[in-house]
Amino acid sequence: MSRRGVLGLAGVVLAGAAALTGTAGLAGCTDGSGKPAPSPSPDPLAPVLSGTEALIDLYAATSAAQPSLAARLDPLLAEHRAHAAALRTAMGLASASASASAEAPSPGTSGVTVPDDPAAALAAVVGAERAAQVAAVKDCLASRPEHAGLLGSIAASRACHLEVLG
Amino acid sequence: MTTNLADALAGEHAAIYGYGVLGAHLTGPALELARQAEAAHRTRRDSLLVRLASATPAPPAADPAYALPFPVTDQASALRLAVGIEERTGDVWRATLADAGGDDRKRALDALTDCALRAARFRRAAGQSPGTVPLP
Repeated sequence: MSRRGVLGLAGVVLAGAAALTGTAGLAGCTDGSGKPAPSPSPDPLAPVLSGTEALIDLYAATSAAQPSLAARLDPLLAEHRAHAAALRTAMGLASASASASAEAPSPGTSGVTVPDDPAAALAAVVGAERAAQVAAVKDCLASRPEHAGLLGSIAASRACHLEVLG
Repeated sequence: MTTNLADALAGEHAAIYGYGVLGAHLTGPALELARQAEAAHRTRRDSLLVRLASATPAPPAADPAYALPFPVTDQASALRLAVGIEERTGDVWRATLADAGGDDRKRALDALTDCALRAARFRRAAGQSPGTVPLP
């Protein structure tokens, strides 16, 4: 009888995030006009992605406006960008174009107002992260089975961010 | 569903064993982190045993010993094992999310989140900053 302790397993448990089979992600023909009109998408992950993108905008704007916070915020910003990429993959979307996830925020276009006081700016980030963590928990608990793993990881990641931000 | 919770129980058994091994190589704050982590895994295990009390087949018992992925000889290797325990246990819990409903999914998400938090704390104890990963 081969006893294989879990600690000794070399393999990786695959999270069930690979169910990309045949989802109809092509609702609505896109036109070439400038504004990405937020057409109501049937994809249940769409609100999660837009919430993640809002967090990315806030982190990027805050990091740019408050250099003293950049060292703390930038690693977490990178993880939020990874969440957005994973969500796009799960939704069958192409990865963000360079313009959508440019490394440098475009000041004035994201609509984010960063407080002048660094402490207030950090508090705004913490508040947004906390709200996003609560939302991710709800999303995970209500999600389809094939999305539960990804949304659970995002919820857990945001909880870790809150601890880092203190 | 109960098969996955049984997997989670097996993972918690293994985690508790691992902390029994690595604790001897830690001191100070790192030891305290490990004690808290072991206690948390025991609580999860006990809760799962109650949840699976009437499950068929019966929930898995702990093995007498588990193979370690590498020798634990000092604080650095002990912290590395602690991170690995939390990552692996978190992986098992994440895998249960898909098929779990209601209270079971909440249980799995809470456990996954706690594993992610502890893994990050152990990475920070080992000198990494911020010690988080994108998709724990």
